[in-house]
Amino acid sequence: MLNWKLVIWVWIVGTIGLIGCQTEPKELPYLDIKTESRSEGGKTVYDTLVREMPIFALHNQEGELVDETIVEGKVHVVDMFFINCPTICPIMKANMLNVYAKYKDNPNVLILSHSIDPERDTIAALKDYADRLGISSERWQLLTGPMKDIFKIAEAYMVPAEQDSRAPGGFLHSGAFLLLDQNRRIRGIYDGTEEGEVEKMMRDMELLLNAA
Amino acid sequence: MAYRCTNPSKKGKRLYEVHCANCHGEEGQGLAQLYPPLANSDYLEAHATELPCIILNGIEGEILVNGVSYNQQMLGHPELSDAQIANITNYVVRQWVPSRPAPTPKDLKAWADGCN
Repeated sequence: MLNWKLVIWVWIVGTIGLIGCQTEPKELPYLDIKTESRSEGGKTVYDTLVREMPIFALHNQEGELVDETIVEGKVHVVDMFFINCPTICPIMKANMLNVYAKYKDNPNVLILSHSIDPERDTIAALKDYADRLGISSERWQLLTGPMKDIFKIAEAYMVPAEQDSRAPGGFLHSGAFLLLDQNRRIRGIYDGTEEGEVEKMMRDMELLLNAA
Repeated sequence: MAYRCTNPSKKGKRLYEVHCANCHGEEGQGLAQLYPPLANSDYLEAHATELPCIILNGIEGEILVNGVSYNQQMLGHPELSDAQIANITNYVVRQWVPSRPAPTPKDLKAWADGCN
């Protein structure tokens, strides 16, 4: 005889399972949005705007001057670091190296690491660091420029950075990895010191790459 | 011999994880050619007695580890006490220099006295 209680139970559990699967986001949110009001025909209309990241002009480890056109049409990951950082940077770099290894042959991906210590992190120092890390500027750019420009960029990317003589190495900065889409809009923020978060970021990168 | 809960090697492991593992890795594996490995390292084997001084004062300039060049400055740790440095040294040597007998407290003191 059919055990109806069991059938109903299985049906309920199955349905919950299906709903659970469906709530897994298929599209990533836009994280830097603002609302602006304007008047149209005597009425106030509200627009939701997604902010594009600012333009920039910085030098990479090869000594090339690069600007925002290098990320055009690419899913890109952004972070802040400095070579003599004794605290969180090594872990961030170890985790970013996993991202690099996965995408090093994918021309639709680019990693941008901004040095917040331009005095010590010269182009030559960045080149040496890149060689020792075993990375190519084709997929992973180490960027430097005037400190005020870098700090302004850090602010725009919502990853605070500041000079602090009391901090180990002389600077404080967030360990965040930012994920931006092909149109330079922020789609995810992850803790670059946590391996699990960086794995989540790589899954989200797949969503962006597949949506293109 | 039975270990008590204050097994210095365990304390050393905790201290290692806080002060060293960021660069040298939890398993002593290092990172690419930036931060040298401690596990299977000919440099560490040859320089084990200098460990307390390196932890205290840091190290600068190029070194060769297993034939690979490393040249990233390591900052010193003047904030650590003599006992903490001894515990880290003890842990690192026991963990990654199997060719050497575990250092005695006397060894650790002698090695540390050699700094400066």
